[in-house]
Amino acid sequence: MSQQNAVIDQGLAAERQTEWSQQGKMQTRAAAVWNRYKRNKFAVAGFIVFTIYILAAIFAPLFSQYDPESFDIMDADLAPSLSHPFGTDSMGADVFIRALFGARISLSVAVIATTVTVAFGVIYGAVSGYFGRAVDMIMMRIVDALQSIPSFFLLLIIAAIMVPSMWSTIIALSTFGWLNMARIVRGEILSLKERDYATAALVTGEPKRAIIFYHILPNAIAPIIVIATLDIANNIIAEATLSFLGLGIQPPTPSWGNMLSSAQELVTLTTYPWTALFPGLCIMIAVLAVNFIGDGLRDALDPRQKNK
Amino acid sequence: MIPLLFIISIVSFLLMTMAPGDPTAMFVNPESSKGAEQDLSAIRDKLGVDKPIYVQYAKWIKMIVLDGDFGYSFQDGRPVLEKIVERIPATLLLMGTAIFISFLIAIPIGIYSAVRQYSPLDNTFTFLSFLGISIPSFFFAIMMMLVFSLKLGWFPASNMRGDGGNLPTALDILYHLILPASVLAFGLVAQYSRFMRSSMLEVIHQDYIRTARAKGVTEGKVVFKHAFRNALLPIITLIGLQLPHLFGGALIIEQIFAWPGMGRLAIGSIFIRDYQVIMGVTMVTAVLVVIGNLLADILYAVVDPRIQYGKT
Repeated sequence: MSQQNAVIDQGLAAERQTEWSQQGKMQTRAAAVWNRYKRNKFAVAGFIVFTIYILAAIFAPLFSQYDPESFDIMDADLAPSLSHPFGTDSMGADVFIRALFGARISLSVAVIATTVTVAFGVIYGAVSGYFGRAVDMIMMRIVDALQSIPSFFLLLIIAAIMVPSMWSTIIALSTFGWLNMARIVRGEILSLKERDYATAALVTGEPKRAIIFYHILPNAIAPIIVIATLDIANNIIAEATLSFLGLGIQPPTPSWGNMLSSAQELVTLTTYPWTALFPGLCIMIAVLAVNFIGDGLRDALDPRQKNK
Repeated sequence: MIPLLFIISIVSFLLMTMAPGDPTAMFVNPESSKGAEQDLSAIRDKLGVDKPIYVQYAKWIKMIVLDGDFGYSFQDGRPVLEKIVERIPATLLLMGTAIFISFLIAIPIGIYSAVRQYSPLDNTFTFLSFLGISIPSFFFAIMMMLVFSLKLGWFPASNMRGDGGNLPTALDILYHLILPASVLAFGLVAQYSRFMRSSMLEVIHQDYIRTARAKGVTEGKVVFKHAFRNALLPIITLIGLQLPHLFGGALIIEQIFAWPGMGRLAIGSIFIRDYQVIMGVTMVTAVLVVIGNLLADILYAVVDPRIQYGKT
């Protein structure tokens, strides 16, 4: 009976929807979000810049005749010129092409690590928020405790435990990177689970798993997307910092962070500042772009919370 | 608070025991194989690293709680607590100065941005704060060092004292402090000015502000007397919550400017796998963070008479 009703309602709704959209009265949710998003000029600029980064990372090999891991000591420490737009480093490798290949590594590490932390943080937060009481108490105390330790400190320790590589860096970023997401999702779920539709799903006897992931979580998608975007920005910085300290991506594999490592020596820094300047700017612009995207998404996805 | 520290102690202990690499290896010369195994097992026995994890943990936590004993550094045999305590003042000085500088700059920016919302200057500040949170602190630190100490030669590039010539100690330290503290403050200004702006905006739309304006209070008085004081309250809590983040930031700045604080000790210990020191620093930092949050709560209650702890 109830199923039949649902079918009728859906049919009717679909009919109305086509009718309205033909008359131009209706927007899909995505279109509405995009309309609000594109009003934020910085967010649009961020989106364009980040797209360029992704394309540059994908098509990196097409851009230059140099090999990122070929070192020609005769060409060491050349200042930026037409043949080497960002100059060359102390090993004679072209800084521009290394920055391009560095984008591949740095961006993949950030995106993969964020995927892991989003998945884990969302599940952790959802379970904690939905079950509440003792479960929530214990799960959140653990998050509290971990958040009392400087996160960068935890990151360093984890990274130092493993032999540094791309995957060890991803693991280090993922291990404690989910705390913030868990806390936010838990807060959302805590309020959403009291809504009538959640209660309705409960009385129809749906399993708790379905209620959490099918009924409640989709309504918390806005903050999840925003936090995930900002997590990507933070992970780009964290990877760069780890690699800079020598605990992340190891040379000769280029990453933006390890390209700056040599600048720790003051002589290199004073004499060949471009070896530090360009990779640093690459990080900064990428992170800035992602942060603008996150800010734009925050306003676009949740118009009620319009930027104060 | 106690359960919190208990969980922190378990986490930091587990992390350390997960670590591969045998810290006892450095006690034995690998060249002289004769009797090395015996020596090693004797050392392992003494340090207790061959016992089950929970036994090691129980022993470790018991020593801390009962005697305040964090064990000894593998590196030089000195008590861990002693090594950490001598580093705390430098870190607190750096962080305290950075917070002070950032308050001086961020609060006026936040107030202005809220009062003149969406004005060209507010938009500029917004952009700058995005820049502030997007620039990796190590990169910013390196660039500032390049410009202000290596090129212009205005400030020393590293250490806490020494290059100042004949300056008295306090001035010498201040001279060394300015650059690292400003670099650390830069990132904080970006965050705090945003906090201040949104906190101010929240307050400024309240009824009592409208009332104040309606009864003819001058705009300056409305902003500074009625709005500002109330907007400052949430900032206190936020800064308490930001403390772990600040410790992380200080860690990198200390490393780059060779500032002899806890962060530099921590990074140094991580590189040589000095587990006792790493666990000690983790615990001490966590305790400082918890104390910081407690202070923020108390301060909040002092500033805001509506809040009374212990009474409901």
